[in-house]
Amino acid sequence: MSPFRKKILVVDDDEDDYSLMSDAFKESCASEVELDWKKDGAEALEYFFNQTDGAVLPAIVLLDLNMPKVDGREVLKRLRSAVRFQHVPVVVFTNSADRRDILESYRMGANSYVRKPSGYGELVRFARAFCAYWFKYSSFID
Amino acid sequence: MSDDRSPVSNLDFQIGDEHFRKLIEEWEDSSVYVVDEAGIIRSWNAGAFKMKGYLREEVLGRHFSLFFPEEERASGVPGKALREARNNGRYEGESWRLKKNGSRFWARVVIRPVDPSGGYPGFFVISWDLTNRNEAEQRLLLMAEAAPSAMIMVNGEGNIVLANAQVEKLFGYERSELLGKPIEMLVPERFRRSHHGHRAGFLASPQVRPMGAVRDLFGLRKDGTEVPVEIGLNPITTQDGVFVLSSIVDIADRKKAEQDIARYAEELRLRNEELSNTNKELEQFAYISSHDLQEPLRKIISFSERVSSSADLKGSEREYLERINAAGQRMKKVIEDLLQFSRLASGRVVFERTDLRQVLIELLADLDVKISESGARITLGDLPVIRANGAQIRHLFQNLILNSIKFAKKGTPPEISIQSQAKDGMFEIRVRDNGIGFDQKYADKVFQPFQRLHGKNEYEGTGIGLSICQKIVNYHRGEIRAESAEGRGATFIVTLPVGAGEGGHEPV
Repeated sequence: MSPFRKKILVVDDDEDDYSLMSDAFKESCASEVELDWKKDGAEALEYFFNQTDGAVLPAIVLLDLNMPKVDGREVLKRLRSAVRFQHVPVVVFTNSADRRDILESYRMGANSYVRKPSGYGELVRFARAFCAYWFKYSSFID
Repeated sequence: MSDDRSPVSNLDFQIGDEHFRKLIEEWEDSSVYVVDEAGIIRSWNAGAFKMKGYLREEVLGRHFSLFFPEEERASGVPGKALREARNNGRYEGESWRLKKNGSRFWARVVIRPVDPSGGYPGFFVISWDLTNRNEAEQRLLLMAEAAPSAMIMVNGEGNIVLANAQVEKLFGYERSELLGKPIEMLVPERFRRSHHGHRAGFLASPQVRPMGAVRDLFGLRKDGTEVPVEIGLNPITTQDGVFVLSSIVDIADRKKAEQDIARYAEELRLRNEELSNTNKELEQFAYISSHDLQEPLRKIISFSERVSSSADLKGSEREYLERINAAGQRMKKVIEDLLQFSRLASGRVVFERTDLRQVLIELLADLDVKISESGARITLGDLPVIRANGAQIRHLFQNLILNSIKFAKKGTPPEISIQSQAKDGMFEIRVRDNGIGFDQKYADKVFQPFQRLHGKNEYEGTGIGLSICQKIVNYHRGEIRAESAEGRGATFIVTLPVGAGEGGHEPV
């Protein structure tokens, strides 16, 4: 893992979606980011809570909401209630356009809410805009 | 009556006082005769002849059961009457008696020992013909007989003193089997005890009323079967006490009809429930399936795009992928519309004050890109404030406006006007365009789901848009219809109640 590239942690039970995202990010901003993948909330929590102090945290988390076992809401809640992780940016990335999901996500501390694009072209454009916002123009992350 | 203890022979009873005997023998106003302890007739007076038609010579030496109807004779009534007179010093009763010619008359009879001290073991039998006691009673009898329903009169002891022909038909008894018997014989066993109490209660405060106001009544037929009845009670006060005249109507047919109606109503209710459940399930199914179809479809579209974005494709490969993609996009639109359509059916909808003009201004702003692309000119007239669901109303006009833009004439920019006028307590909102229009004969068809008047390649669309419009208007208890002619534009007319959906938060 290159220390110069930001790590995006994708938490999504849909392997197809991850594979498309991985391609889209490679196509649009491969030099700036690399993706890591946890296939559900349980794996994500394990990743966060079992790592040793001082380990490198992901620069940002792309978090699906509806997942088996431990869902995205639970992950978000756990991260926001842990001092070490409460400032890790979390972008909810889901198929749901339900108002309640949007409101609940922000209420629980999501930094942004994005509905999954419906085609690959759209996904590439999303990845490009995402990288531009979070890693080039924003002073949000160091 | 007499303390006279003159000797008497077994065969010919003599009262000691000649004058007194003469008096009684010639007394015409009542029937008086004497029977010995065995019931054999020993004397006979003029009144008895007048009443019963027998001459003295015809009856002396015969048993007095001669005057009792067959059924009473068979059940030993004459003997019982004598025993009662002997034991109690007096017997008194009313019952039917026979005349010589075989006809019956209603008699009041008193029997008492000739000599209570036991000197002569015989009895005076004194009777009065009550049949013609008074005209009113006679009329009553006639009326009862002619009545179309069964009528029974019961005396204070609860014994049947009158029964008309309908009673025989209804209960299957001969009248002679009923007269003098307790009314309870017509009451099914399980009600007899309480019937007795009710009867006493009625006699204590008699008034005209239907019987069994709170429970079903049944009569017991001779053959043991029961018949549902309705009974009207009518107290009749006479010089002889209170009688109760009851009219009894067989309600078996009515009961059956009532039960049939109740059963049909229940069947109908169940069918309705079934239908409504099926409907809900269908809507639920449409919603869930269209929702779940979105997911794999998104993959199809994404991966086909993903492949076509890579460089090394042959021309035909790229073309096929694009076709896959185009088909996927169409399917996506259908699913979205289906979802929208089924979402209208599920869930509650809130109706609130909705300014139509405000809704349309916001809508036009959102549709800005489409409108300017098409070059459409849209004019709004005066629009009312109604009680409605804002989101649905917005959806309704969005579909209508996009519809007008889609079916514009080639080369002619769409002109759309939206006007409203009050009419018969409703608002009539007309959305009029200058597009290609359609033959008026399709005016109903355009609102049916998936009905299209044009090929998919001519005009895109799923054929659901206008059916969504219709559903929305229906929820608002309004109507939508179309007026058009081919090549001459179309007008969609939405009629909404002034207080559309008022009073309810739920769709119809």
